[in-house]
This record gives sequence, C-alpha cells and structure tokens, in this order.
Amino acid sequence: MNMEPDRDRPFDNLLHDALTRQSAEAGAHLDADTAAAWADGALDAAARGLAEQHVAGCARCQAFVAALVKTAPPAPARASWFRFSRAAWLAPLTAAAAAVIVWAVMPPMSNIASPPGSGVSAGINSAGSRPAAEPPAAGSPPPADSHPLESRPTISEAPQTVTPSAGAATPHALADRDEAARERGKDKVAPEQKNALDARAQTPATAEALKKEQRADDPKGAPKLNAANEKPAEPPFATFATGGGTRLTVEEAQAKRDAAANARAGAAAGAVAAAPTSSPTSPPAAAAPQSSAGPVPMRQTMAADSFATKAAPVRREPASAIIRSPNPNQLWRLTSTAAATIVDFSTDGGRTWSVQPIGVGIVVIGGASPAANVCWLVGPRGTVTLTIDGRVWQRLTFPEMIDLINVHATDDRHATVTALDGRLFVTNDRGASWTQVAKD
Amino acid sequence: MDYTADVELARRCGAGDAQAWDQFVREYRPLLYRAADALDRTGRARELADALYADLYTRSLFKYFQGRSSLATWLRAVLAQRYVDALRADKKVEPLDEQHDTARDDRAADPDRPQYLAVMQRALDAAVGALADRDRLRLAMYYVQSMTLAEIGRLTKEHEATVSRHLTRTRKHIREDVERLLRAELTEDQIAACFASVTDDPGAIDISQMLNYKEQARERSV
Repeated sequence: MNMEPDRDRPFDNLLHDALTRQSAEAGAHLDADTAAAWADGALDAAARGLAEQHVAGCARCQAFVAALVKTAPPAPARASWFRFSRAAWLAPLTAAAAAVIVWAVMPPMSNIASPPGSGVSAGINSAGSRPAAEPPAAGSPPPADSHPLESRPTISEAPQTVTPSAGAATPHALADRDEAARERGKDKVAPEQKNALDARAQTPATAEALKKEQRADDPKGAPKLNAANEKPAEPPFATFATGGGTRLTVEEAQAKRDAAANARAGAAAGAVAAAPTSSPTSPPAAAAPQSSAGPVPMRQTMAADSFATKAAPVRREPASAIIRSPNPNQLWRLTSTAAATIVDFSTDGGRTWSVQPIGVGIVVIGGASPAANVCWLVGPRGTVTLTIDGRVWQRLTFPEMIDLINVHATDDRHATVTALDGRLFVTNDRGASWTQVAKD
Repeated sequence: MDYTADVELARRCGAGDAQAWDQFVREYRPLLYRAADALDRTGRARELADALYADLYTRSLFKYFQGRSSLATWLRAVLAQRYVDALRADKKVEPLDEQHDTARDDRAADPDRPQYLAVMQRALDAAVGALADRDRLRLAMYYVQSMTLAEIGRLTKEHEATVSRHLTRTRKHIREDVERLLRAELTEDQIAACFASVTDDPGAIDISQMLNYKEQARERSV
C-alpha cells in the first residue's frame, strides 16, 4: 500500500480530526528518561505498553515522541552478505539459470474452449480433472475457439528438426503435423513430411505402439470414427500414402489419428499447437463444442510441450487462450508472458477487446467462466482472481503458496481448483475459505 | 544494554570534572546540534540546544540521567521535549488552525450536511476509540504527526512494510466500523450521500473511492 498519496484525502482529514479529538491532554506525561529508554528499546514489555497506551491518547506526548524519532541519526546501511562474499557472482548466474528453467518448463497459454455453462477450465496446459492414466478419446475436432485476432505459431510454421531418434514423442509430433496438414485441406503430404513418415513407418515398434494405443481407446478393437470429426470430402485413410509405397490400413490410420489427437490436445496448450485459425472475417464459433478428447492430463501436456520445445528451438511468442462464458458474446482472452498475464474482455464475440487490469505481475494459468460476467482465474503461487461483474477483478486469498493450474467453477461462489501437485481445493463462499478435498 | 560508561561520564560532569566535561563537549555537542537541525532548520531548535547545553553546565542536569538509555538518546529526548513544549507554548498565543477542519465546514449548501457531519464524527470517534493502543499510536503518528513509515517503524520496532500493513488493516477496520455504525442510523442511499457530503470537494468523492463503499454496496446487491 502506498500511503503517501492518501495524506491529502478528505477521509484522512476526518481521521486526523477524530484522532486529535481523542488525543487530549492525559495525565502524567512521558518524561525524557522513559522516552529515551523507549527509543533505545530498553523498556520492558509492561513499561512499553504503558508508554504506548499513554502516547496513543496524548497529543503532547505524540509530538514529543515524534520529535525524538526525528532526531535519531540515520541507521547505518547494512551491506548485504553477498556483497563481500566471493560467491557474489552466483547471484546473477542463479537468476539467469532460473529464468532459463522457467522459460523451458512453464507451459504456454492454450486455447481450449469450454462449453457454455460447463465452467470447465480453459487452462494453459489444458490440465483437466481426468485421471492421468486415462487417455483422451479419439476424434476430437480442432479447437473452434481460435479467434481472428489471435495469431498463434503453429507447428507447421515453426522450423523444427525432427529426427527418428527423438523418442516416443516423435510419432505424435509427426502425426500431429500430418493431421494439421490434412485438416487444412492439404491432402498431399509435403516431401519432407513424407520422408519423416517413412522413417516412422519403418519403425515396427512405433506402429505397434500406435495400434496398442488405438486398442486402449476402443476396447472392442473396432475403428472408432467420430462423425463430427469426419469429413466426407477427405481422402480415406486406407489410401493415405505415406511414401515409399507403404499404405496404412484403416486401423493404422485411425491409430494415427488418435495419436494426432493426443498430441494436438497436449500441444494445443503450447505455442506450437496445430490448431487452425479462423478466417479474420468469420466470427468466432459460438458455443464451441467441448472436445471429445476432454482435457489432457497435466503430465501428458507437459511432455508434449517439452518435446515440442526441444524439437523446435524457436523462442515462443506470448500465447493467448480464450475463456468462453455461457453468453457467446462474452469472452475473456488471456495473453501470458513470463512476467504477467494480460486479460482482455470482449462483449461482442471477440470483435473488440478491452484490457482488464487484474493486478501487477499476476500470471494466470487457467480460468473458467461458469456464468456471464463471472470468471475465475488461477495461477502460480496461490493466485486466484475472480470477477463477478465482468469488470473488476478481485484477488482472493488462497491458503497455500502453491502453483494452481486449473479451475472448475459452477458459479461465482463455488469453485474447485487443481494444484500442480494434484491436490484439489474447494470453495463454496467465493474464496473466503478453501477446503482440500480428496481426489475421487 | 549497559550504559555504565555513560552514567559515569554524566556523574563526573555533574561533579564538575573538567576533563569529563571536555570529553562530553567533544563527543556530544555535535550530536546535540545535529538533533536540533533535524528538528528545525530555522535556528529555533539550535537555540534550544544551546540553552540545554548551558543548563547542563550550570544547573547540572546530569543528575536526572539514570542510565536507562544511552546518554546520547537521553540528550535527544530532553531536547525534543523542550522543543515540543516551546512550540505548544507558541501555539497558545496563535489563532486556532482550522485548515483541516473539514468535518465542521458548513460551507456546502447541502441541508443534510450538518446531520451527516455529526453522524460521521460520532462514527469515526467510536471507531477510533475502539482501536488497540498500538494501532491508534501508529495511526496518530502517521496522520497527526506526519511521521514516515520508517520513523514509525523505528518507534514501534517494526519494519516499515509491517507498519504499512498495520495501517492499511487499521484503516480498513475503521472503514468497516464506520459503515456499520452509519448503517444503524442511515439508509444505504443516505450513507452514500453522507460520504459524499463530508468531503471538501464532493465532486472528487475521494473518500468513497478510498473506502470502496460503492464497490462493496454493489457486491452486496449482487
């Protein structure tokens, strides 16, 4: 709090009057000997209490003590210990290392939409309430919440160096890129993509892993085609050429699609998501359906993001995420940097945006809008902010300084936040109190 | 803390020991002048410091030093005491200072203003009166004595950030108390009007902003 500018305010004058009225001449005044002992910290607790009690109500002694304090010589400046330490150079080095680690580890903003009224978080990492062991379902449509004003680098835009030895994440990334190209209507795979897919197809273990993954998604083993996600005009996967004369079967194609969905859902949180962007002239899709894949578990998201970061050594630009309220015209947009998150609000479906101050240096990771004008945001170090009128944000007190990654809210009073360590905290009184609950 | 050396020096000075007096002059006279300059740069405090210096020599004020603090702090305290008493003596012959008396300023044409002022004054008096001694001390030092947060912290042995936090909390507490007390006598609309009326410049309504009164009223209505 900066008290200084408030001095001239009328309330301060009123307070001054009230304090002056109550600071009458009272009894025996403080003598110089006692005041000096107080200033030197030599009074015991009882004597100091009596002195404070008197001075609090005595105008003369207040002035006396104030004058005494003003005459105190300035305290000698304390030199920080590290200034004389030979390890002084460690301070900037440690800060730089920490900054690099944070830059590498922190998940970027995502653009996952919540269905109207669901209050499901649109977290940066899309970390949801699903157990980590449960893989997301296949056939999720591309995020429909890409806004015309948003410009997110996509995996196809970012120069990448993908090698077959990149590990288990490689098939996902390749499938993702393939899927992205297919969804953009480019049913022809670029030569470099074909080469990469060749390498992938030549790895039996990878194909087997994809098959297992597909079987895990569909216990019956039947190819699961999501009608909402299938476009009749698209070439069938059975004839999808991967180069080198290898053709994928329907099952393999479906497995690849599943893998692509997984990778995309995870990478959607990052700046390298392959989600298509809407036309600048087209309005954002209102009430976008929730991805059937659902939120991706945190670990999976982090893994995908980490891989993407390593594979694409490109500095990430600030990414945006959209939080949709049940009112399709009311959207919040979160744009995060390492230092803070900028919150924009739109009341016309995203055509125009206005910045809303949520506080200096506040970083937000996830958010949820369970009702029009109501939005919850969570972030690192116990950050929970709430607006109930769509204008003013209020920082709520959270009991622990832990990183919060997700929030699910049903209204302006009831919300459940997920911490990075997996714990869940519930409030039923607009953040006045929080209760840790067991994960079901 | 041990102030034995200071007590011994004061005893010897009081007993007329010339060597001790020389030491005292050498060590403490500059300190006394520095303290005087910190109080007042017009020379008034310097005069008081000279008078104190003379009294120490001629009237042997050293006998009042009991060693409960350092001799330097004691000297500063005696000087500060004399300075404040001198100022208060001067003020008794000066007209009353009304520059901050906004609560009794009836210039506004608002017919309800006298009632609002009276109600607000009662509420503020009650809220301030209910504070703990230390809270009231911090508040008085800040608002009445215009001490800085660092100076208040030096007195209360708190970091200035702690002082700031306590002041914020105390002011918030007063605000809530005032609102509660006003609510017993006025309607919500009247309270808003009261806050607006008791300010010097109703157009600015700084007080409403600072107290977040309207904000809270809206939250309540929501």
